[in-house]
Amino acid sequence: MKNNWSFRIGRALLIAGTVAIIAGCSSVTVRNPETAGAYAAGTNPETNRRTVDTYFWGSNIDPEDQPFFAEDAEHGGIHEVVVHRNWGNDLISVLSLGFWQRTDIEYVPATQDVPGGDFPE
Amino acid sequence: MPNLHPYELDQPTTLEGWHQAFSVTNTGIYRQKSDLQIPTSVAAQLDQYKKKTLAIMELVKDAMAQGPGAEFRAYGSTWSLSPLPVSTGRQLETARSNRILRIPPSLHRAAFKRDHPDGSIYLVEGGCTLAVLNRFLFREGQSIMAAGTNNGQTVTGAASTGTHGGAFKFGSVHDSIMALHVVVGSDRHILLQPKSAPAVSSKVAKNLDAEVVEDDELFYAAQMGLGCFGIVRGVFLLTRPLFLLHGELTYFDYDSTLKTFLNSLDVSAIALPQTTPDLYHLGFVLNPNDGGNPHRVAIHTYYEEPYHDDYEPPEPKQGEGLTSGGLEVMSAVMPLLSIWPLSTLVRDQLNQQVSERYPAGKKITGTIFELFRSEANVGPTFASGVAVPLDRVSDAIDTIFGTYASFGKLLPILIEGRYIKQTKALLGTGQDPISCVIEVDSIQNDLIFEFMDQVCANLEQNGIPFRPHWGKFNRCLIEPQDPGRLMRKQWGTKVDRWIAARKTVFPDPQLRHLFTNEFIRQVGLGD
Repeated sequence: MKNNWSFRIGRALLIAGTVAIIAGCSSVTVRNPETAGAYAAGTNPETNRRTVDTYFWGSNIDPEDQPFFAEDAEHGGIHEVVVHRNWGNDLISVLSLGFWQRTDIEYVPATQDVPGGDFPE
Repeated sequence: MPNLHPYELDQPTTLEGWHQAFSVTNTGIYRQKSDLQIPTSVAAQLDQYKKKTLAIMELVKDAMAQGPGAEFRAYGSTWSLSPLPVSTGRQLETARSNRILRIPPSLHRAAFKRDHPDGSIYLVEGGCTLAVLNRFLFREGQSIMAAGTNNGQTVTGAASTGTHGGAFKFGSVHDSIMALHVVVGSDRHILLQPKSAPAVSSKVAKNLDAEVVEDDELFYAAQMGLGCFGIVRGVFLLTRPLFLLHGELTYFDYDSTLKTFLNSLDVSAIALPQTTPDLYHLGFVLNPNDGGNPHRVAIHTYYEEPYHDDYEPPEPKQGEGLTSGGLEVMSAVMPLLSIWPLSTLVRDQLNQQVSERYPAGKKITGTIFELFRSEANVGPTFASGVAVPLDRVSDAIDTIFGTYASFGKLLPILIEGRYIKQTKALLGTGQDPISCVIEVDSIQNDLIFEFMDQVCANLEQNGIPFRPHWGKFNRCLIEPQDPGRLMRKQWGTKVDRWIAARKTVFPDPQLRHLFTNEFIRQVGLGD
């Protein structure tokens, strides 16, 4: 009987934890319409990831992250930015009462340059 | 319903500037459709450029149909710290209108070849940012002539607000505009260039289906058009072969010798470091919180030399550790900074930040593209700039310091100065042979606005001519009891000449009103 209760409690915690983790994952995507067709379907453009921490309820940030520069965006633009939040990020915020907040950011540099050319004579 | 393609009318929107310096609700924004293909061939680029021009004329008609008080104004990056680009009427978003085409030498006019033997011309579409342009030109082995400290503005926005650097032998961004392609009505678009120095052949206008207008007075009014000469489709921009700048920061005591230098630019007066014979950019930095007196001045020199690749380009600027939210907090607590012991702590912290940002002997080398980019500050920043004649620079500095001393409150401010050559643009800020634009930068708060109001009043009281930067703090130009008084005092008859030029371009009062906004009318330039 005791083992049965332990199993039930363990199973409930496992389900609750899984649900919490799944429910705690979210992402928002911003895409540059000018480069929307820059990557063919099925290709895997280079994705850059960075985790950014802010402190003092968002008022302070590591200078290296403010702003952080997409140095490998050699073609002068960003194709896509995805901001991720997950359960771990939220847990950090909750336990620190918002003092420390963590965000995961992904970005894909644009591929297309301004084409240029000579004005016709 | 007119055919607005490739634009569509979006709902009324509150536009907040990049630096949160304004927030204005319009009656709708014409936005370029997001599914518009990006052309690559020159023919396709030109075709799209021309189709957009025709569409914008339709937008003018659509905006005019809103009634007698209608407004229509283009905006770019909303980089400005003044409300110049925004309107309570219709707005045109110019983002993604960023084609760039080189004008081949065969289409250059003789006057241009005479005046700029090493120069090239590019047709830059109105929504192209300086960041995109600089990167493009770098690839072409070319460079813009002058730049501000960062590159988020559109070329049109930077030019229309008088953005400048310290190119005291050249001028500001707008001085590199050789000709303009502008939509000036629902059935008219013109290629405007000065008659005395035409830059491009009439074949260019023919290929754009534009009417040629060659007129000095109209061109130099529209060169600093403040968004009031129609919708700028493209600018014909002067460029030069790519070059390197060697920057160095040297500290001097603020004594009579240095004042002589600041008021004359006589480089023999002080021992400036000299990397090459050609000094390109000159500026200075003062920290008014460092002892309360301008006893140390950091002189910023940039010497130029032809481009080579044997150098280490600088890393992009990093921020100060404050997010937008952090700046908002700083803005909110600014009135408390003067209270002891907070005042001591804050003053020490400010001085430490300035010392770290401007270390003595700091050297840097790069192209304009690499040096002047990467705006580090986001959030409610404050910036101001007033152009004063060369011989009054130290008087202006003393006036600002005197105002700060009597203001009696601690402000997180930094004072910078950059020298510019005289412009031909009627309402350009650099109206003297050489001017110095003295800037006070900070974080937005009522206190800083109050302080700058006093600075402007004291400059005027002390008889120091000053012309505020069009893209920064300039509310001192707004005088409801006597609109245009300060404008006329500082710019003289050029104000009326600028207004007359608009009447020539837009004989119809409704059309003339269409390309204004409340700010323009408040400073007495409406009609």
